[in-house]
Amino acid sequence: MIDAMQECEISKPYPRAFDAASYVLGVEELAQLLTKAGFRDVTVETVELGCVWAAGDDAVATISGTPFGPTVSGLPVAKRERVQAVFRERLECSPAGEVRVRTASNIARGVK
Amino acid sequence: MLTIYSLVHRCEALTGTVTGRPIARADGPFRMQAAALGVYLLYTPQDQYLTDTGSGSLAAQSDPSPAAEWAVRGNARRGFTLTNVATSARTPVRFVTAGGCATYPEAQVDATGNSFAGASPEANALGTVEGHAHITAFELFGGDWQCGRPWSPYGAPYALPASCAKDEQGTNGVFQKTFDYSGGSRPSNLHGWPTFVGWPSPTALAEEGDYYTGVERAWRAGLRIFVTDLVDNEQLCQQMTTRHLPCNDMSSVHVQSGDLYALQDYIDAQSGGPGKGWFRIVTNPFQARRVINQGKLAVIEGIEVSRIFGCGEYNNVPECNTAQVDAGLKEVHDLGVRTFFPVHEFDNAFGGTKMIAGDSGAVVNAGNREATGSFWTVEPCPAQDQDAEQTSLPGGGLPASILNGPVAGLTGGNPLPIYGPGPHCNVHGLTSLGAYLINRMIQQHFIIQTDHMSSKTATAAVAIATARHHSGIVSAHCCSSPQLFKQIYADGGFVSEPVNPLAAFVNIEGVDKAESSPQYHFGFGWGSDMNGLAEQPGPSSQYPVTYPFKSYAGNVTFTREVWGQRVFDLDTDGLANYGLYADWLHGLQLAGGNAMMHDMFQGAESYLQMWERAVGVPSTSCFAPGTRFSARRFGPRLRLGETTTQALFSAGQPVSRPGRSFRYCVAGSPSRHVSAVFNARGRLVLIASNARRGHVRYVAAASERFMRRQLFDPWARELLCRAGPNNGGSVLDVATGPGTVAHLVATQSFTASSNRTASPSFRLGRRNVLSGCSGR
Repeated sequence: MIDAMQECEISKPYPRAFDAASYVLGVEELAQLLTKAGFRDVTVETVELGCVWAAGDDAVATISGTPFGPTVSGLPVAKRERVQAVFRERLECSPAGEVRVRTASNIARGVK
Repeated sequence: MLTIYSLVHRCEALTGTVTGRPIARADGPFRMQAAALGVYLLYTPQDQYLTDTGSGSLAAQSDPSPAAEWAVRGNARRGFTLTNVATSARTPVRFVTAGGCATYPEAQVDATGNSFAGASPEANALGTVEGHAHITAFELFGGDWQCGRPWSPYGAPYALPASCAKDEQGTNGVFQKTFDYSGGSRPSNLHGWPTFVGWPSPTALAEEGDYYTGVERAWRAGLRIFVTDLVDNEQLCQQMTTRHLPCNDMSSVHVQSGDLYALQDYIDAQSGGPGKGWFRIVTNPFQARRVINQGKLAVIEGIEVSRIFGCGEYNNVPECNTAQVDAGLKEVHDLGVRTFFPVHEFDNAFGGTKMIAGDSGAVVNAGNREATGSFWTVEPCPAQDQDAEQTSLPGGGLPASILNGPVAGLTGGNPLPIYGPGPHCNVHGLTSLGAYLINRMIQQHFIIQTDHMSSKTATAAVAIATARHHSGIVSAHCCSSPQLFKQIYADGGFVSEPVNPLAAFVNIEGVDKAESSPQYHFGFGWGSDMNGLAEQPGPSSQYPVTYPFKSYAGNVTFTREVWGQRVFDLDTDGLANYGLYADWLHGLQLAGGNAMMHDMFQGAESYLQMWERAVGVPSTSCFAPGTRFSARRFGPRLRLGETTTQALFSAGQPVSRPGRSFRYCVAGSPSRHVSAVFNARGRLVLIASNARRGHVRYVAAASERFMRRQLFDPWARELLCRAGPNNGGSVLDVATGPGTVAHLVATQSFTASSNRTASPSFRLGRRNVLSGCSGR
């Protein structure tokens, strides 16, 4: 999504909007955070899940559910469609039209 | 970063950016005292004002003047300039933070701690209500009658002057003696700043009582709605020997409305810039709620004059028509006015007046003759319906001496009428033009003030409001028709009572509350009428206030209010100025306990709900059981993406407004409810209910349609699976987003809370079994 917006030369809607790392709390950071917060026996695991959208349009429409939504919806029609098209190109649709994306999260567990 | 507004109160030295040399170094550094937005007095350590002499030099002078006012322009990046207001001389300057400045003399608030704010812009409002103030009444009777004003560009020493002599000339002084200090006992040694001998006082009606720091003190104690009426009286104005404003009610309305906005600007200037002050004029209930939940004071502009829109009557002939009424309504609406009195102290084209009792009434009755061609005409009536009882006058006394002397023109040479035994009712009721006005007020969402209407007039006006289902009907101070309170409450209106001694006020609140309707949110208020020729409660030791005391909300500590050398104490001074309403409110807590305070602090919510209904928001009604969810809405009344205001108009008033949500009831199911949750931008993003066949459902915006099932649900399941909460346990969903985890865990028979800025918790049903952790 970020790549698509950058490729279309969309301005950052807020500072560090296009810095993917700014959305991520790494394994060590998360462990430290919880430990400093008083949790003990902290473990952090990176988990992957496959997520499925029934159609490419649905997957593209996730833009409107993100913080980029207002920016993209406020673009001129041609520019908005360009962003959506670039985003769609980067998603791999199955022959049945589904979009499958492998997602990952750091899940922590601790005791307090 | 320094701005032209954030300079306020700072201690600065000046350097010329062209010359690189200090400016007026011998007189500095300077306390930056805001005279207006971006305009400053440069106050020296020797308590003087840096002044442009007009001959190319600067000098410190002992009194402020336009030549001592400096407009600051520019910004920190491009540089600042100082422009003298009198001479327009412009100097590029650099401000250099310094020490050793003098403190500018000002009346003190004497409160420490931050006053409370709401949980969110749309949340339930907490705070008290002043239903009837007159902060702009210093312009009364041509502008030269009242001594003092609620603010001055030069601060308290000039707003609350040492001498009131200039306001005592000719008939101005005669009328002061009539109204002041209960009539005929006006002290001869009145002195304002800094000693304040004789005034302010609960009976000083011709001297300023609403100085803005006093209102600030009351605000810090919890005041959140302040209805202030632009006020005047043409006939009494015409009797004044000196005046500088025209004796025309509507002209006065325009002048005072300008004053009100100027005061807002002045307070902004003291607070760091436009919009930053605690005093905010509001024009609709939604704006008012946001202001209150910011912890600020919502100021509502009203009007109280006898010839509104020029609609007097003479010999029973109206002096205006329906077209003029329509034009007048637009005129005052454009000014920001949202409430007014159709009838005030004189009979007019809309109806009869309640009349005034006592000595003051005799003078006002003479004014009625001058305005309408006749004295008040009364008829016998039942005691519960009576208007102000008129005495058999005059045999002598002050009113007679005035009416036979300096203002004989009011009576036209006619003796004051001698009335028979009471009860008395004004024979005049609501006219056909008055009925037209009331209907137009309802149509245009004005709040109708029923006080000052004769019983006959008020009864007819309330009947129209009842028939039109208009909640915007209030009784806010004196001169009311209490027999109508039950109907006003039944219509969803609001009542605030004149301020009385504490125990009496508690009793009055109990009587009024018994009349209130369970259909509507109850809260109570007071109508001080300060600056409006209304005496305030005097000293009392009935419920002694111990200083310092804490506000009802507990976060502000009050010491005795200090103006110059005067130290105020409620027990010994009474309600001498508006700041003592903070102390009075504390006294009310002593007299009436927390139950009383609860009702007082629900005043703001009650008033706002009344106003919402007046502008067309449907009153509370429960959702039908079985109301269906769809992808975008809940039943026909709640739609995702709506603003809070749109949700109010479509779904009506909720039962409560916790945090960022509205909570609605479900018909026939007291334990069921529907919660509409708004995001930080005030858009409806989540609707949750436990009403539909006992199962939880929710719908959210785009994220619901394209992200919940595909992305959020799988991760929420994964998370819960790994957390493994026990049956019967609790889960706190921090930073809950659309509430996916809270929803999912709730369907597994846990009690879930989501804590995204106090979102509601959900008690939900039993469904589903978590599947295995798929990510392992």
